[in-house]
Amino acid sequence: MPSMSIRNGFLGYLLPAVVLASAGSASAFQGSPPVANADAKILADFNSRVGEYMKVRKKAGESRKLKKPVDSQASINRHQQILAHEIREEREKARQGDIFTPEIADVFRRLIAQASQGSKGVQMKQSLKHAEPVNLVLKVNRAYPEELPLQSSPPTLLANLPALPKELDFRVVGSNLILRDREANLIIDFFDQAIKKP
Amino acid sequence: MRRIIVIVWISVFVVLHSQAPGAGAAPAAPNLTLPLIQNSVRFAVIGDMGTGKKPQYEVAEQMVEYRKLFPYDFVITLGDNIYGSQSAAEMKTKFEDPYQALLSAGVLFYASIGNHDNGNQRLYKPFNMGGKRYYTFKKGKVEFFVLDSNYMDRTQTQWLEEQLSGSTAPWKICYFHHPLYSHGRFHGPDTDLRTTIEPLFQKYKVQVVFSGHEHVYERLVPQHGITYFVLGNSGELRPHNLSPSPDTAKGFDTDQTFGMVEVADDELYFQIVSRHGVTVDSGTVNRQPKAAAASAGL
Repeated sequence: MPSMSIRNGFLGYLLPAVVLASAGSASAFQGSPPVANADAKILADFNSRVGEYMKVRKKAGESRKLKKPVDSQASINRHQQILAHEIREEREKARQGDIFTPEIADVFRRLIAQASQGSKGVQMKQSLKHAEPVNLVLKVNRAYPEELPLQSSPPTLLANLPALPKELDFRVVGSNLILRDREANLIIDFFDQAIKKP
Repeated sequence: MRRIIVIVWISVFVVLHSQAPGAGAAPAAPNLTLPLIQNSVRFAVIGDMGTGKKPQYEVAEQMVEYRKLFPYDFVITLGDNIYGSQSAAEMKTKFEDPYQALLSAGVLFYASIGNHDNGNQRLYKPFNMGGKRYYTFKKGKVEFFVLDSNYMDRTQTQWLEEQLSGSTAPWKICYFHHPLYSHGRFHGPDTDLRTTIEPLFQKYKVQVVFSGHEHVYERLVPQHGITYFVLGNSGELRPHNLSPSPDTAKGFDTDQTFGMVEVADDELYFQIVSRHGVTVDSGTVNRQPKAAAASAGL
């Protein structure tokens, strides 16, 4: 089992999932086939790429971070826009696949396919269907459109994916899985055919 | 003959699709059914309200009228607090203006986040979220567990279990956007979310759960000893969208509503009022599981 020091570090977000799944332990991965060693390496690569993004993010936004809630919605919006702008500048050359490389996307597809099996999988698909599915043209570094709802991410889906730093989330858009920066509301990366149509 | 049939059909359609009882009519005089017990915890409930349109303002006016009879201290919101643009101007027309009288009177709003909300609403001070997507707060004998049902990951689930297991509050109330049970035709229940968090509700004896998302009002027959309310029509409305089942204790889908709740000792009293001031549901929930069945007053 991972130690507390690993858990507190960034690697801790991913390693417990991989280790627990590999051990077939009664974790959130319960019912899922163990992650193969090759997949574990690829997921570690994902972890590393997310870690690189977090460094860029920290550089972009740390000094102006809103530490406490404020009365002014304009201040919140300004904070979001400046953070997004500075992340975009830092990641000017970012392209689709920088984080979800083809190998990583394939492993994610397999993990999602595993999550889609059995009774929990049926519930997951129902949850996605009921959660106001949206479709839009995706582009890295583009803001998620404010006027569109965000489709909720089913717990079964999240339980089968690596955990993320609290600043990021996974969202489903059509058949795509996107990696989003919550606070900047930016699409960091995405890949298609993540969710198979029934 | 054909003309008569057409006229009959049109008449039936108009009747079925007209607004609520009292739509267009003068609002009904406030008629409080809550007992106003000394030192009780009193709050209002709204969900899916942030449209900035006239019905939201009319519900807000009813909330102000009823507060004269039932002086509640705070309001819980069940998500979709702000639809569409979340600019400062929109925040004003969709939140600050409709609830101005309540805000000025010192009524606090405790928000949960819906699928139409920008997650940065957690940083908006009047929503009292303390900068967090999910949080708890206490009022008297009641502890509230406010969840972000858009993203129920392992971290949040573990947090919920820690909070529930550590709570000594006699009353535990959870609220969040997506309903675990619903007979609305548009969305229906989120069964994946249900199988994830309902076992925790059962284990730690949560008595009452409020959700929105479905733009109707529905109170479920208690499920596993828990009384579930769906109230997602304080601004939005999806008329005639409920398909009541034997599990529906009360449903109302022809007008916007808000709720009022009073908790005193072992009883939780509720009253649901339409934007025209009509009481559409009321009753009592008992704290003890063996008597958890909500008894309807209507």
